[in-house]
Amino acid sequence: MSELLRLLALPPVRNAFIGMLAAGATFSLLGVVIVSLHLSSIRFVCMHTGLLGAAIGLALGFSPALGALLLVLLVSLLLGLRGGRQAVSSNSLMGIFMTGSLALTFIMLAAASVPAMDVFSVFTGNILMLGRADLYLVFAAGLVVLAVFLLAFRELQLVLLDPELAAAQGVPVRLVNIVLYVLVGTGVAVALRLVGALLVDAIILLPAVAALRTARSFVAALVLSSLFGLLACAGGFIMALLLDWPIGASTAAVAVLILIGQMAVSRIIIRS
Amino acid sequence: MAALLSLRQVCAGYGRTAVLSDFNLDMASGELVFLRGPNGAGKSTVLKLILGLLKPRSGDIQVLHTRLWPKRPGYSLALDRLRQRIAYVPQFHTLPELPVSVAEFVMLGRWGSSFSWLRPAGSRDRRATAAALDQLGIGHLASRQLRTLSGGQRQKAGLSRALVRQPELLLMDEPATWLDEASRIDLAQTIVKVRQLSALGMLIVTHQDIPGAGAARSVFLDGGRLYE
Repeated sequence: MSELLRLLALPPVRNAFIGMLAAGATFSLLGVVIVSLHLSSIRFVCMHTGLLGAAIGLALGFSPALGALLLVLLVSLLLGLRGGRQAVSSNSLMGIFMTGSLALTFIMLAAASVPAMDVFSVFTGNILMLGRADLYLVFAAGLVVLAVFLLAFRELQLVLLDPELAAAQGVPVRLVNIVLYVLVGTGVAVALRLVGALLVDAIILLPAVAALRTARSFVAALVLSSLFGLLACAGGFIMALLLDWPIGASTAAVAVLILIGQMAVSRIIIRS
Repeated sequence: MAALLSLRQVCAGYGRTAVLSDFNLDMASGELVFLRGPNGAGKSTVLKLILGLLKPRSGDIQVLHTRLWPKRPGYSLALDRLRQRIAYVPQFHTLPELPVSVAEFVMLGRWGSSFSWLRPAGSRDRRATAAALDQLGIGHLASRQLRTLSGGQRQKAGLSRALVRQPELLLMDEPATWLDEASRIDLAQTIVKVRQLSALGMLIVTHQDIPGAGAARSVFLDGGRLYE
């Protein structure tokens, strides 16, 4: 225990822990949006465009993380603007962005002599390198997510339940969709920095899946999603410190355990 | 009777595909109209035009004595006000991923007419919800999850959500699809009940008439044109 407290007192570990808690409590709310609007593939788009953004950042001489964040934000905004339009379906557009981003990334690696390992560091993330500016970014993104859910709670509920019916009642569905796409893009881009592309689901998706399986109302789904996200991040981080495991992988393991636990408990309840 | 709804020489479509051409439809206050036709005839397009979800390429649209099209200054405000007086029951072909109780689902029908952005729902909304559920005899389902209801029960929940808005015009899209014979009869009786409770106009898009729903006018849409 004293060893754990000693480690948590170290500034890089403390920053990482606080960043993970903030992300776990807030970005997990976005998982509810992803599941409700069937936006699973947007995560992959963000991951692929994040790679391209990192390559562009390195080629232009600035941080790969910033490059990834900016490009992911731009692409999620474009997807939000196109969402629901007939001409090119969102899925086709996502396919174009995913394949196009990878192709351009490899071209940049070859043509601009961008170091491949630096680019692919986006895939692994490095939570212990989280600086003060990164921490502020996590807080800012988390606060924006929370603010949107608090201020537009009913509008979000209407759109997530049935966008067509919401539009018929006068909800600005297109605007809500754009905001949601950009928020999901922001969440994924920031989570990339924390746990890496391969484990983004641990923070964003899995807590929401477990919450939606348990909750009986939108409020409960949001509260549980936030709690499960917090639990996955706190539990995963502490487990990683105690057992000297990678933080991202430990967080993902705890998130999976939460979901399996929820499934087991609901099975027992149904049987009894 | 004054026209509740009037669409004159309306042309509409999606992209390069024309769906309605020179389409005309009039509906009087308190009237029940079945809009029938084959798949792809443009029945749902008519509902989208009335709800302002689709802009026509040409023609005149007047809804609840408000000129909606051709577009005039203040169109968005007029549309917002108009939507407060219209209720819509869409097809319930997919179940929501989001958990929601029947009572909460019905209460959401008051968004835009009683509560909205930064104006939370209150006790008046909850009372109106309970009354709307009781009117259609599904008060006992209030705490049930929407996704656990049968097709017929979901239609009643959808209708309750529409009625809780106290609309002057009710639009329904294929309410009888996916329903078995007993649920269709139940739906017809519910429509009769709704018309007894309120003198609202009802436009129901359907593949076939719903027998037992009371005195109604049936019109047939095919090839973008309407046949009485």
